Amino acid sequence: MRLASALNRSVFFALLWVTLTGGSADALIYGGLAVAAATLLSLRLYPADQPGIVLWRVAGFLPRFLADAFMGGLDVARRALDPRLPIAPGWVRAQLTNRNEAAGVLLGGVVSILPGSLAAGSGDAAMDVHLLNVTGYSADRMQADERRILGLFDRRIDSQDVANG
Amino acid sequence: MADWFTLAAVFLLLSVAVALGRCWRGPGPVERIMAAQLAGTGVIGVAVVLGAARRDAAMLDAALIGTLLAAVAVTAFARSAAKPGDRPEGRG
Amino acid sequence: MSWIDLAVLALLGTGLAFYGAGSLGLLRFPDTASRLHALTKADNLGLGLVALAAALHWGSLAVAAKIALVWLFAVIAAGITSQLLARQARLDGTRSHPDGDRP
Repeated sequence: MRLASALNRSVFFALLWVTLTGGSADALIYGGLAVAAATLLSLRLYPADQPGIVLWRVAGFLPRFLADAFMGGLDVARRALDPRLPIAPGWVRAQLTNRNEAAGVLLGGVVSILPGSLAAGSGDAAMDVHLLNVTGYSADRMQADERRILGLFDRRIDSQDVANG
Repeated sequence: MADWFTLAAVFLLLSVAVALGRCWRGPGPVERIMAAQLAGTGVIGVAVVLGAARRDAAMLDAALIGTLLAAVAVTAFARSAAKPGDRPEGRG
Repeated sequence: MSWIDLAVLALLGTGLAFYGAGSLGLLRFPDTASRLHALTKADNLGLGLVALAAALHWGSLAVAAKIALVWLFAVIAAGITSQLLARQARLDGTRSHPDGDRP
C-alpha cells in the first residue's frame, strides 16, 4: 500500500517536472532529486494510510468544475457592475456529513468557486460559508456538493462519516 | 498581435492599481493582505501576457513562482493573525 | 487577421473585463468577505481566460501545458488562501461584536 502510493505520487511529480521544464535533458538530474524530495514530503504531510484521491475521478470532475468557475466569475462580475449593487451578504453554518480534513479543505475550495458562496474553513463536521445573497442559500445543494467531493476519494473516507461516530 | 498583449499588460496593471486602492483604505488587516492575493492573480496575469507578447517562456516561470510566493505570504499572515483558542480545531 | 487571432483577442478582452469587474467589486462591496468573492472568483476567471488567450497565441502544446499548470496552481493557491482570509474575516467580525475582545 505504502509502496504503491509512493510510486503513484512520484510518477505524478515526475510528470509535473517534465511539464514545467519542457523535458529538457540537462534538468533531469535536478528533477530526480526534486521528485524524490516531493514524494517524501508528501508522504510525511499526507501519509499513505489516509483516504486517497482517485485521479481519474478528478478528471471526470474537471468539466463541471470549469463550468462552475465560469458561472461563479460571471455572477460576481455581474453584481459588481450593476449600479444597484444587488447583494445581501451574510454567513451560514453548513452541516457536513464527513469529518475528513482534506475533504473539508477541498470542498471549501470548490464551494468558493461556485456562484455566490465562499468557504471560511471547516471543522467539527461543519463549515462557515459566506454568501453574497444569503436568502438564496440551499442546504440541499451544499450536501450535493459535499457528496460529489467525497466521491473523488476512495472508500476509506467512509469511515470518517459523522454517522459512523 | 504582440502589441495587443502588451496593451493587455498595461490594462492589467491599471486594474491592479485600482484594486490596491482597497488595500490602502483598509479598513481591516484582511483588506491589506489582499494585496498579496492580488499579486497572486493580477501580477501573474501581467507575467503571462508579457510572456505571450515576447514568446518568452521564462515569464511563465516567474508567474509560477509569483503564485506560490503569494500563497505563502497569505498563509503566513493567517497563521500570525489567528489567536490560540479562536477555533477548537485550529491546529496552526 | 486569422480566426485564431480573433479568438485570442476575444478571450483576452473577456479576461480583462473580468479583472476589471473584480477590481470594481473589491472597491464597491460593503464587507470584507464579499470583497474576497470578487478577488477570488472574478480575478481567477480573468486569469484563466487570459492564460487561454496566451496559450492559443503561442501555438505550442508544451507551452500550453505549462500555462495550464500556472493557472491550476493559481486556482489551488486561491482556493486555500481565500479560505484562510475568509476565516480571518469571520473571526474579526465576531470579535468586533459588543461582547467580543477587540484586538
